Amino acid sequence: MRENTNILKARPTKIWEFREYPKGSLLESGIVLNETATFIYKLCSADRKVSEIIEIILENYEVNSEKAKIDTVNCIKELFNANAIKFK
Amino acid sequence: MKKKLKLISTERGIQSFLGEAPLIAASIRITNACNFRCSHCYTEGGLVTKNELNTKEVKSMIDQLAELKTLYIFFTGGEPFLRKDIVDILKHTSDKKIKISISTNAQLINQQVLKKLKNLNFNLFQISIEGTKKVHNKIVGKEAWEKSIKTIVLAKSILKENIGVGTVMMKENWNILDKVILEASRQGADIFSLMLLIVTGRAEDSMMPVPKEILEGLQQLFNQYRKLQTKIKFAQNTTILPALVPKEWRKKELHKTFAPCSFPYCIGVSANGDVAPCDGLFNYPELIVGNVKEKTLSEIWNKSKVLKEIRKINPTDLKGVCRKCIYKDYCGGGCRAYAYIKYRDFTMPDPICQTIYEAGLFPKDCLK
Repeated sequence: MRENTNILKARPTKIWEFREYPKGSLLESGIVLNETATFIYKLCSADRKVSEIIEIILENYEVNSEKAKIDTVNCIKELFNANAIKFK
Repeated sequence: MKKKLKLISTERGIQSFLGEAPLIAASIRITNACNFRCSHCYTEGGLVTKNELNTKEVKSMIDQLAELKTLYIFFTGGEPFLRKDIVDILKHTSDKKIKISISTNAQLINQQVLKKLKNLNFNLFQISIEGTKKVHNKIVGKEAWEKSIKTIVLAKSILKENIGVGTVMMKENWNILDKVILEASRQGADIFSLMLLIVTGRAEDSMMPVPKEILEGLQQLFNQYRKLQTKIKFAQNTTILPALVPKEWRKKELHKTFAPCSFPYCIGVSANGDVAPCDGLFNYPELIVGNVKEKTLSEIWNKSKVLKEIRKINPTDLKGVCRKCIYKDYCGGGCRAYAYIKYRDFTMPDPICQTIYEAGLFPKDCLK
């Protein structure tokens, strides 16, 4: 797994198909994501850096930049460890 | 208005988390008719059965699966391309944004058919190859290998990607799987799907390799895969059990690239519309939970007592070697249908892992 400084420049890409439900989403691999993780997963489209995902989080959620960064990076790490995303 | 940032996390408690039971996948045995009579066929493909679903009924079922948010449909047979409406059915599935996997023996596919399939939503276009030319033709039929190989090349040139070769590991081919994946890659397949034999339908116990052969066959296969991995990958639906993946590949977590079986969040639908928890279970009347000609899929999925009971089973309920295996939460006990076929109990272990365990050959580093 990349170091945090590099993660911000990384471009994550979704691996699995998914479906949305009222409480979150379900990936084809059997992983379920809550609403916020789903929001992030949908932004993982290879043309967007993690730093850009954080910017979008800030625009859409009531959260300060430090918490947005920590939570987003943690989510990206969890998705990577769960083999839900890969890096371009 | 901005939303509050909630704790970001991922988890696997599917039904408790979502508050409903999602139907991830459906396997549709689109016809029982087949132009071959392979001795290992778990579906006993052969003659067309009475009352097979017509085009309208199949399309209605696909519409219902789309409403249930099904992620993908696996079309099996028999031989799916014996149905004259198969292209129409696949197009309809694609229009509904459902991913398509299909398994075919390739004998009826030509350039004209493939051109009609171009740009459909395939995640796997799987052609069966059971061995080298001699072995495949012995198992499947005269000159079948030649036609299958030609179709792989043609499919690659037209569909471009997600061209798979599917092989069932059995007594006659366990020691040539490395040759099969090599040939598949040479001809342009980019996906290899290995399935372990399920002793049901026409398959018999004598066709099953012994534990030592299964492990040796897998080791040979993965040794070849090491050389080919930039060209071909294992299918997400491959049924190689995580604990049986050679250790060096387990360390690299290769098994995480195989999607664990979607059971119990899946259904099988037979050619005549019967619904079972998996398409390997149509031989068990107690597991036929309805028929799509009589009830909607939503009604069957949400109201069947049998399906509800099966969905209550957790990895912690598994018995035998599965109980001790470090991969049980990920793998979910391998093939639950085969466990039922062998032991008539969904909490029993995967029969192949159990047999290997009883032979003293189950990898010790996979045991708690």
